[in-house]
Amino acid sequence: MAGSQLTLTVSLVMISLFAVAILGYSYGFATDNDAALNLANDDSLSSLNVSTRSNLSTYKGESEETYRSIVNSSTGEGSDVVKTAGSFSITWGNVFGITKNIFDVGYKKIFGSGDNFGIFLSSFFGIIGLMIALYLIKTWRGNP
Amino acid sequence: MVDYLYNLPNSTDLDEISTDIITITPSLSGFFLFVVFLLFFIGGSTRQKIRTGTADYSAWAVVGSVAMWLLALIMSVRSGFIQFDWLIISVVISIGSATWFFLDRKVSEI
Repeated sequence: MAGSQLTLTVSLVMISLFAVAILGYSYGFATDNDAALNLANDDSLSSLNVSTRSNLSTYKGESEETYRSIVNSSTGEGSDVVKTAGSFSITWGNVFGITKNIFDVGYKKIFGSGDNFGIFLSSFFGIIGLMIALYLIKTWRGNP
Repeated sequence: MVDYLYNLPNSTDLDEISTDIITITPSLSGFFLFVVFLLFFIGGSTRQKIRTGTADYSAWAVVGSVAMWLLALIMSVRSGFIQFDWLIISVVISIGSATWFFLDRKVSEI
């Protein structure tokens, strides 16, 4: 597993970019070759493609804002830590949400929409959420 | 006259032979893709482990699944070679392998 907040963020973003790239290539391939089977005909993959693209676009805007707020911030004399975790939390929500969407669609395609294996997804996102929370608190407040 | 257990495919056209065989055994194309994935995944990681002592399993899973996905794309051009579900599952497995790969990277590798 990833070893730092930056590593985990980059991992989640790369997962999203990979999903967009592979879906985009599949659509382009089907259109260029006039293929009999086109992934664009699958509703859930199409909506995943659209939502991932829009989430990535939002993520880009918010990460720019985060960057700007970090470079514009100042550390006063005698202060040790910032009062809120806001500057860390902005860029996290989106990438976590994108990964969750990707997994949700993939899970439904393989296991169906029944709830027999639901505990697998719940546990996986539980542990990812816990990792994010621990990385945040570790980055913000030091070792818990 | 030999009594076959299945209907013999029409052997006048190469494409027809393939589509007839796949019509008789619909899971054939899916298992063909699965074998391609396992060939890269098990073959690659085993050889790497023999050579270097360790194997990058997630990277080989990505290589295998991308190879499988590209073959599935090529097979999807003509109808009858592959079922739509197999194409979707090949994409889903590729994204799943990539998720494993990117979460598996160490601090020094990304």
